[in-house]
Amino acid sequence: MQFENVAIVDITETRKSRGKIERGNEYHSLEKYNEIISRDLLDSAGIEKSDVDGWAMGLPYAPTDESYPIRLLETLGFNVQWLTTTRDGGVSASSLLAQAAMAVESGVTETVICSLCDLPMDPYHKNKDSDGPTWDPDPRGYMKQYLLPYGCQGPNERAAHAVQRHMEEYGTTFDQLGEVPVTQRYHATLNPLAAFDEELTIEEWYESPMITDPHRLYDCVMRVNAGLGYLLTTKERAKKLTDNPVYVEGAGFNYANDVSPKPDVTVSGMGTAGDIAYENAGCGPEDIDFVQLYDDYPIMVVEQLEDLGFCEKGEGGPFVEETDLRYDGDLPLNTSGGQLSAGQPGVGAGAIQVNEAVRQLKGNAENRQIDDPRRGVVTGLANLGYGTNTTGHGCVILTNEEETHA
Amino acid sequence: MTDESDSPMTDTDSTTTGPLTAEALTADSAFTLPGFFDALADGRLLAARCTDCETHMLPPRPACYACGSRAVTLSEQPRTGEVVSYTSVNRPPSAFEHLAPITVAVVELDSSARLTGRVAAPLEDLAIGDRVELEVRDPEDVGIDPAFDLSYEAEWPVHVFERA
Ligand SMILES: [Zn+2]
Repeated sequence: MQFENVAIVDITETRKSRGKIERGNEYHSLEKYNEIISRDLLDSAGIEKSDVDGWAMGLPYAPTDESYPIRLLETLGFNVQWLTTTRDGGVSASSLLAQAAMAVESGVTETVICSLCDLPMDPYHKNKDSDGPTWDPDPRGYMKQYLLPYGCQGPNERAAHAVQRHMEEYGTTFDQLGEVPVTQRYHATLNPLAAFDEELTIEEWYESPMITDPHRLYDCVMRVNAGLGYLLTTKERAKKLTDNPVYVEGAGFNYANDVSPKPDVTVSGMGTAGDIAYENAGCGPEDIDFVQLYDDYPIMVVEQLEDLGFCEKGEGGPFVEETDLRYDGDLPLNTSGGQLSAGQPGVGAGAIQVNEAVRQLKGNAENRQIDDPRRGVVTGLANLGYGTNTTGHGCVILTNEEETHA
Repeated sequence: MTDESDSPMTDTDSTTTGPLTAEALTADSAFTLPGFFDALADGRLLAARCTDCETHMLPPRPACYACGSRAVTLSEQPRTGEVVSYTSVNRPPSAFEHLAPITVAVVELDSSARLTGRVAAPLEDLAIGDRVELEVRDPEDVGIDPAFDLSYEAEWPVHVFERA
């Protein structure tokens, strides 16, 4: 996918909430989050609701009815002529961005709001350990019948299998893996929108409890409620609405890539998605100034750095140890703190990455601003299976240079 | 129901050339989870085997996820294999809290099929490549409280790997 005539005007992102109202956490409805982000996007561009003719919506994991997207637009008062929805897990944010860009590029719509709002922490949801959930998150029964009886709990241990193999095959060490959450937490201390913004030392990381060995507490992403969004329009219009538009230079996706019975959990399918994105953008890893990589677990960051060509397969451990990953370092990584620190907002998870890339390229990252970045990589991952790696991947290359390489 | 759809579902190494009919995929069929666990309770660990590419699928699936073929048959699996990867669940769901930490491994059976399950050994004693053997147990025997409001079929058997 190549994009000649589309630009991101701006992004927006709410504070994160753990949804614990008994502890004073704020709790907004999906409608409220969508209202907040759409108002922010209109205000920052100086446009009216009637100027928006398209909407791209990430479908929340929280239960909604079959006409939810239309009812939501009615509630918010947006009459649009193009609407799309997506729900491909952690890839949603990058796939929605690409879908909206394609729609603007094709001329079917001119000005599009992308909204990714979700409530994975629902204080009114029944506790699954008491009376059972009010909706069935596992309709095929795979978790219930096949995994829960063995004491399995979910992605924490699925990713732990990948860590164990990476350590065994390539000698990856705890010192190396710990670099990722510790560096990202440093970035979170500079981000007022991060859910977890207290400083974290490598010693504290080592001392944190093992959750699914070799995963410690700070290696496991935490769910939060939040709303995130972006505004896209044509290049020509974007230049009238903002001084610093951001361009989509290339996008690549890869789904259901490894359903073999003997998958190699040290390899993600991001390599294929990345190759497509690099080819569209006419660039390679050497042209990338920063990376915002989907980070449900540190091992996923390490494997993506390998699969996206920043180092050889198996060298991800030494690479994160030897490379300064801070915002003012060699290859800035997840400069908002990533999901490990900013939190994982359901269907909006990957938008943590998209939004920070746009902030950096617009020069709006304030006290964590990378020095004059030109081009960054954003990724999304989905569907981490048992004994398999992820099988959903999205890679988008963003730039603030109007002329593309192509 | 025709004769062809009747026979192969409960036999092992039958010569199903598929596709399986919708009528054949009842809860009695080991191609469904209830049938798979019924067989396991009888001491038989069944996988689907693709007769076109020899891929094994555990639990059984009615089509091959490696080559797409529907020519699958049931195949009884060996009980022994080796550890591909492992972890320990230190914070399990409430019903299993008293069992923590629970060692869980992905095991490659000697047939090449892979199966995830508990390992009856502490994490420190386990390594990738270790030989293990499958045991099938009643839920009560592994200490799962039947009074707990579980969200799955509580009477289904539990499989546990012992170090070989
Ligand atoms: Zn096959």
